[in-house]
Amino acid sequence: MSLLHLLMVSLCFSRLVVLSVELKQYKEKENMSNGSVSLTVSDERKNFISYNLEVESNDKAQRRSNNSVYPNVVLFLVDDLGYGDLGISGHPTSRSPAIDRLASQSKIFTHFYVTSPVCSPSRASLLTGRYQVRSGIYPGALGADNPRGLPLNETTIAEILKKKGYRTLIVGKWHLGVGYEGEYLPAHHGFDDYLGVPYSHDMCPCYACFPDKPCEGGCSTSHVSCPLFSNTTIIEQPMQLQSLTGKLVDKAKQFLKDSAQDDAPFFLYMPFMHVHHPQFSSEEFSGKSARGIFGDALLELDHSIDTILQTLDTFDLADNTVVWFLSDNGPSLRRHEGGGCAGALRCGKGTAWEGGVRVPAFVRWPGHIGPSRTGELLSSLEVLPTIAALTGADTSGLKLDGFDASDFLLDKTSESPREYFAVYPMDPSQETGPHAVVYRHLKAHFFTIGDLLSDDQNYDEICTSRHLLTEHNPPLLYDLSVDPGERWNVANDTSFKISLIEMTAWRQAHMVDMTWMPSVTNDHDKYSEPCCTDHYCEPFPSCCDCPLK
Amino acid sequence: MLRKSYFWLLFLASSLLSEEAYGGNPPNFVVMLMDDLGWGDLGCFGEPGRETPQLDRMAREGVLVPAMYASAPLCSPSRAALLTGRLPVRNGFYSDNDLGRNAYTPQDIVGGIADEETLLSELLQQAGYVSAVVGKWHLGHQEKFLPLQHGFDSYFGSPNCHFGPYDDVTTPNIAVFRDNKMVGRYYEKEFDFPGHVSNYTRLLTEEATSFIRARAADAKPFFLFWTPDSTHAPTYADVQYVGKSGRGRYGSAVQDLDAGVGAILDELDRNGLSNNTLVVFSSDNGAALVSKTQGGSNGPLLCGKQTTFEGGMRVPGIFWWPGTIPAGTTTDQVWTHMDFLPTFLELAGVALPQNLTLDGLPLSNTLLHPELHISRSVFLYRGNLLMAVRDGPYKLHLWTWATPPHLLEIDDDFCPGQRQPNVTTYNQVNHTDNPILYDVVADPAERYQISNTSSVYKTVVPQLLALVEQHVNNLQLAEPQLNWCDDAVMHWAPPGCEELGRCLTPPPSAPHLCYWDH
Repeated sequence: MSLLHLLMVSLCFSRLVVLSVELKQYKEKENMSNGSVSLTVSDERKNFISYNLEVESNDKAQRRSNNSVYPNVVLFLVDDLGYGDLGISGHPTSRSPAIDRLASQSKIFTHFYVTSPVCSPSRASLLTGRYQVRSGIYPGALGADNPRGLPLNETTIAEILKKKGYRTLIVGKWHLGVGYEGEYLPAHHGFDDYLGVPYSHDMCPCYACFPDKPCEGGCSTSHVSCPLFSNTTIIEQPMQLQSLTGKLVDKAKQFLKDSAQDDAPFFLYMPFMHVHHPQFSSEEFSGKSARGIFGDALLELDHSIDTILQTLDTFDLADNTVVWFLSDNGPSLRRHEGGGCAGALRCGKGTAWEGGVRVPAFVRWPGHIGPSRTGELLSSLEVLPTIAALTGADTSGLKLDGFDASDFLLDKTSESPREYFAVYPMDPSQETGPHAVVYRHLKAHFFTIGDLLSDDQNYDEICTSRHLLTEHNPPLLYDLSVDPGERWNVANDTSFKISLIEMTAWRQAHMVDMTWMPSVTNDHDKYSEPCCTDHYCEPFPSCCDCPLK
Repeated sequence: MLRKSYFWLLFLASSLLSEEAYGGNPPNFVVMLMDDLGWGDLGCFGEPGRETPQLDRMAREGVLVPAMYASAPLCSPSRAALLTGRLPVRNGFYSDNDLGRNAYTPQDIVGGIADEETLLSELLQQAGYVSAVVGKWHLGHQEKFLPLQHGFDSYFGSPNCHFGPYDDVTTPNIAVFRDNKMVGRYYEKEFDFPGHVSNYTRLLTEEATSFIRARAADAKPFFLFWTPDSTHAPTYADVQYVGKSGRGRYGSAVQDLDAGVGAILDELDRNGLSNNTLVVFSSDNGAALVSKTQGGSNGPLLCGKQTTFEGGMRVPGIFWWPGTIPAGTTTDQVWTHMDFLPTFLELAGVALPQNLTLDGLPLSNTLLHPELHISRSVFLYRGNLLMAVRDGPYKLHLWTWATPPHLLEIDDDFCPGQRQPNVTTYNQVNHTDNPILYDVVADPAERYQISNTSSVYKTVVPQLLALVEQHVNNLQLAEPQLNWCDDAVMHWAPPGCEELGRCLTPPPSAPHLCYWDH
């Protein structure tokens, strides 16, 4: 017993030493790269913006302070929405009229990736413009009892915009950590205010998803009830799913109204709880769609987005607001009809196949961006540097993996700044690196692994958890332009030989260049779970529920 | 329980219908029927590259139909069903040489559309319409089967698939006809396809637009059946689209067709006809997945052409009639191609012949009033075998068959990457005693079987089996037209070959039972 104990302590100690060495290396590397990749607003951009100011009507220009010449930003992030789930993306049964209308006014990216096939890592990359392995947000997602979160030295979109004088609000699912004392909550990552649930609503007990139906499929019953945070305070535990969307939307509406009245620039980040399992909706949408519970949840999401867009119109903000829509990863196929649809793409959530990481995405800025469509390669890593360029926010000193795609969005160039993209698996390791590399329309899989999230009953065996980690040499190569479903391996086609060599070389260089922050997602401590009462109360976890008023 | 009655709405809409819109002028009809174009091939149906701006515009200005079914998973029977409003087993476009095989009209087929069959074109002709086929016919290539003998006033195109090139010795190249006379052959002189490049789709588009102009001039109501074949393998496109598509050669063919659709809609506009013309866009069956990267996409649907899974039978559907049907809507109504005949007759105010049994329904009300929804069943056949039935959200598979083993061996897979045990079976499997049930509204990809122990299954399956029994009991099988083959009937010497000096000598007649291998 004591020997085992000793062994464990020494193991932990050696792990700590390794950790600190890695951290030191990480910091050194970060410093080395400072400045070399700094992104600033080009003179051309300034001219462009000032030109656009001049052509605006005088009274409108007069109403704006110097700060608000830059556009406001609304970022809609949908949870687990598949490539084939929207009306515009060709779902036979889905109806999403407001999102479809927004898309039709936007520049639609048909070849857009997120950096991870699961929530937390994808969100870390979206908000920082950096691969998740740099911030330690891997493997998998942060659980309810995980005491850690997005490292505080990471810089988010909210932080750079806040420095620029923007008001910043997040409503919805944060999923980048809470901490023992709320130290990883949005308040510590650049957000002025927050209303929402800090992780997935199946990581806590779920009771009433629809007025007349129970929740379909299970939720965790071993953790505290879902907490609803107002900034850093829990105001509801258990959080009520059916009334949640209304509260989130009302909060966002009030924020838009206040910002308009004060003529203040703003950043509204709306990471929806929809359409993650378990599906839910208020009475207004329950049973209203042909597609069942997923369709009902999608209708509520669609209505939320419609309300926000209408609010932008009401307060005359739409013309000066960049609206970016995307999903955090592919559909949770294991939920069957209760999960999403990847359309023609292979597999879904949890895998590096197209269904896991290629998502619907589009951007609208009336008069500047869209309506149009592009098949050029882009990723969620581009969101931070591109928004920074459009808003004149400062990114100097940041080591970014994303590119400033503002010229591309503004149609000043027809080519995306991104040529290559690394696809990391759900559970990345330094040894295997990115499992796949995308080069323009080609995708090479160097490793494949299936996952339960893509359904063990999937008719495509390679998507299931029975498909264990497999190395491919030569890699599996797919020409996505003619084969978006990754069905026909063309690695033996000699016309792709040079591209394949280049992709292999790029991946090696990428792996050498990458800095790995040790994982933060594997720690568990029940005393870190959000608790309305007292972490040490009894009987845990039900004692954490807020006392009835 | 499955059937909700909308008859009172139907009645209401019918009474509105007669007073609506037409002011005495019968509407014109244009059916654009593509070849092997898949459900997922258009921008408005979610094709990632979104390379079909004209069709996407057509959808924005019209009604999108995500639940449009072809009547067979192969060309000839599908087309025959569209024009007759009747299932292939009822109109004779099938074979009973073997159980449940897809038959069609290759060069050596002896049969064709029977004289006893009443085509949409014939009914419209009797009502004073002028009708034209422009493109692929595929209802038989001997003279008695050609369009002019079946209610059409003009014809330009080929009666067969454009397979080839052939050597004109063992097999002749397919003839291209104008009306009843051959005017050339595919892969020869004016209709050549060097390197999969051809202006043939443009020719078909120009034929269509000049037909429209002629009708604008003579002010006669018309029915145009526009049936280009460029998305059928081997695909081809006009030189201006070569290298322009992200989707390769197949994508170029789609772009070429898209431009043709745009040109036809524009011609209707220019001649002031769009307010009085119903245009329908669809495809004869699902995408041919055996063509791999050179073929189309069925989006999320299961399998493709040749099968009765959704990918084989569900096809793109768009209706366009500015000013009459509401723009930018999507309908939940389940349609089949066989509904076109009764729907068009209803819109044209033409009575159906009394003794004509149809498998299609008149559905014009659901176009004019998208909130209407008419309950109906769809019976899905492969050859002479009833494979599945759809009613309401449910689809019941009585039999399954995907790719036969001998085709899998040569890597011709109708369901690539979609292996569902007991569903995508390599042989014909009879599930009648324990049928497979899907909810194709919640699960259009047919991924998740409804458990046979569930209460839904126990309620729904008997109801669907009762519908099947009723259908089978009322079905009068036609004499099969696709049983016999004979090399002597190939395109050796079609009418008109003498004038061109391009007659070939046929071999002696040797009729034999055709072999249908899937």
